[in-house]
Amino acid sequence: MKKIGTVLKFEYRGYIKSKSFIITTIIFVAVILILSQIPRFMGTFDDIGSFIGGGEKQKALIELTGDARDGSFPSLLSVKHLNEATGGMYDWTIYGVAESDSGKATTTTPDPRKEIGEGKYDIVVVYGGSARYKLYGKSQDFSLLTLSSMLDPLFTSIARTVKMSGMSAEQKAKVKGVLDTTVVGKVETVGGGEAENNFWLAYVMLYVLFMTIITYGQFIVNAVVNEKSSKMMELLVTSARPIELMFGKVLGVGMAVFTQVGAIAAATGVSFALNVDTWEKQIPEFREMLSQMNISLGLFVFFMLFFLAGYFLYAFICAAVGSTASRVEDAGSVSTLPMMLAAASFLISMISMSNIDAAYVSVLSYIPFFSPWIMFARLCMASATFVEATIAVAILVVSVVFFGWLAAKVYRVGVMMYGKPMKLTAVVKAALRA
Amino acid sequence: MIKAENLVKTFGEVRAIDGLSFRVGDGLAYGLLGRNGAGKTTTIRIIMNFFGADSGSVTIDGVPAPSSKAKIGYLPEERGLYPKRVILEQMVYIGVLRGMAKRDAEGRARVLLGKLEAGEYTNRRLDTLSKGNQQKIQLAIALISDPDVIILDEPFSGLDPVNARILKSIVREQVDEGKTVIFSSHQMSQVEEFCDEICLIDRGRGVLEGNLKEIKRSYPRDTLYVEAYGAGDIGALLRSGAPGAAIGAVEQGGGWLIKLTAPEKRKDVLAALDAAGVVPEVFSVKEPTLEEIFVDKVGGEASSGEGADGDADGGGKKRSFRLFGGNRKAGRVAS
Repeated sequence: MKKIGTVLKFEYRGYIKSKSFIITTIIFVAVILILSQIPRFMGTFDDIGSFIGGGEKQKALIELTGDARDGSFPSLLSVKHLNEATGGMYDWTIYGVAESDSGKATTTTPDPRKEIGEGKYDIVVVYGGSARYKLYGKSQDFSLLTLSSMLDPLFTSIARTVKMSGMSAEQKAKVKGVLDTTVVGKVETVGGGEAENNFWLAYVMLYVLFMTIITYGQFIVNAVVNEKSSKMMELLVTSARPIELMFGKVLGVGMAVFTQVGAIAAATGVSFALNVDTWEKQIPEFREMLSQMNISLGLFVFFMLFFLAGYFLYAFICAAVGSTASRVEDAGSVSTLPMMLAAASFLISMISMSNIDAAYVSVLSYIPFFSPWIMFARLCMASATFVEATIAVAILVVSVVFFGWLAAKVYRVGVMMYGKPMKLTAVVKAALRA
Repeated sequence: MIKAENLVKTFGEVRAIDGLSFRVGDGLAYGLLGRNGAGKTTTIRIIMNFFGADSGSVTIDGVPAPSSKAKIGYLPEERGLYPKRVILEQMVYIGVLRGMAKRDAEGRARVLLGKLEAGEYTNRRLDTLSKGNQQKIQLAIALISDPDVIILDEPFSGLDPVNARILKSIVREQVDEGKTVIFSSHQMSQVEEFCDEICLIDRGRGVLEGNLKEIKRSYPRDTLYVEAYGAGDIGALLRSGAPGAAIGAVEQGGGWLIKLTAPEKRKDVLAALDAAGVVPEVFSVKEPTLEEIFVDKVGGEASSGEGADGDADGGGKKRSFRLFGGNRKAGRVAS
């Protein structure tokens, strides 16, 4: 164990002191700092829409139901109001109440999914005058987040106005909830299940996990192959047990990963926090957008669990495959297997976001190599419960232990072999015999 | 005491080590000598437990090598360190992996680098050093944990004469401190002066083992080296002054090498020189060099092996040491 610590420290120090590590970290942090300063450079935006979306206007429909059809609402919720709130990015139509400046009006309530599915509208908002509204859009439409953050203040201000306009006690009671709680928007994508507003978060985090694993997985493969090709291995394996060398290396690179990702995350947090006022001047909804970004603690915990376990699962496999190559030129080809697995998992999770409740997605979300992405995606899209995620994490942890053990065996045999890279199956067989 | 008994190691079809046995006493320099591919490195890797032998055993002070707690310093044949890392850092790393406290490892690293005249490189990156200096760092790492047993695989390859001398003096120093140094080499002339004992390996088998001085003595003492300034052609002088004493004489390095018909003919040579009024500056028995012994042993068996494959130990083989035949025989070895 002590030797694992020694190897870990040596590897960690090697990475964080290396030029490439320092330079990439600085570049990332610099880019984030610059991005966070954008509002200072750009002055005012005439139109939020031009900044966030731009291009052709999307066709949007708002359906008023229940209390929202009350007589007081038309004066508060008109196409003009909606255009102001959404920066003129949408071509609004109101269903539910006939009012003066709304072209079309009807009392029927169309099915939002059908409207979007048939392509009549890009966006459908269902608002019942309560603290909640529901936003329907096409899956993978990133503007839904922006839209919901623009609608929240509108609905909040409507509720406030309704209260202050001296309504009956009965009506006040109905809108009380709106004032006491922040308006909660629900986003539903057509062709997908119901999800909290954090499906975009899933994209970001799945991508972060993918990039981390392929980048640092390749680091590990290269480090092992370099040690072999620089003939360091003979000295090392006669000084420490291969299993200690492997664990030390995987943990050392792991710590370097968390240092870098942590530095970038901290830079992001600090720089945006410092600039939040500047941002807000340009985009009044910025604070709202930020609050939308707040993920729940549970989701964060699961992200960390999947991130850690996923990293170690792939890191062990990378160490094992790296040990089968002797030359730097072979490093790329031996790492194909883990890289393909990670890429496949990432792509499947991306694709499955639009069809998150499919049976194959549920099955894959429990399989160790895929679960860090797919189960996390399901969790974000509210397709899986925390209980299901816990089961997936448990399976993942068990397989991390198993693959750690297997990788150590392969590593022990692999690092002492020179010449052409052996087939992984042959090495595994040899490792299990040894 | 390191004892290897009946080691056998095969790689696929190749029998790299084929029943090799030897023992290395404490506090001496022991040379595992042989041609390329004789099995020296394989033997060392078995001792280091880099891999196990198919059969046979290695014990260190009576304990099987894999479970021995003896401190072993190792200079692998496959030289390599981290090119991008600072030298002191790497030395301390290996020292700590070998069970040292960090501070001790650092102190020892500085002392060793000083001894190796490499102190100025302490805080340099390895890849800024020349090959020869990198070799020195390798050696320092082998000695970092102040080991009881030091195993050096081909320590001289790649060293210039100055660095080879530094290496030799350090090895000697270790031996004088009572450490056991085992090293392999195929460059006989390089290691001759500090081998206490040798094991000649050929095709995975030990063909000659023992104390080098004794081995040399075991060869007939029938060659003289004589330097006598102004004596002219000593060969001619002996033909007339001591007929039947010498087979021949050749001039070499300022003196004469004289091959006697029998060791006791030395007296006759001395008498003949005296009679001719020649006072020799140097008059000594020329012992066979390690290289000559090597060629005699391995070269001879290489040729006998052609006819009787697998019978390299053939008991009644005659010693074919020939003073002036070294080159010719060496040529045969290579063919």
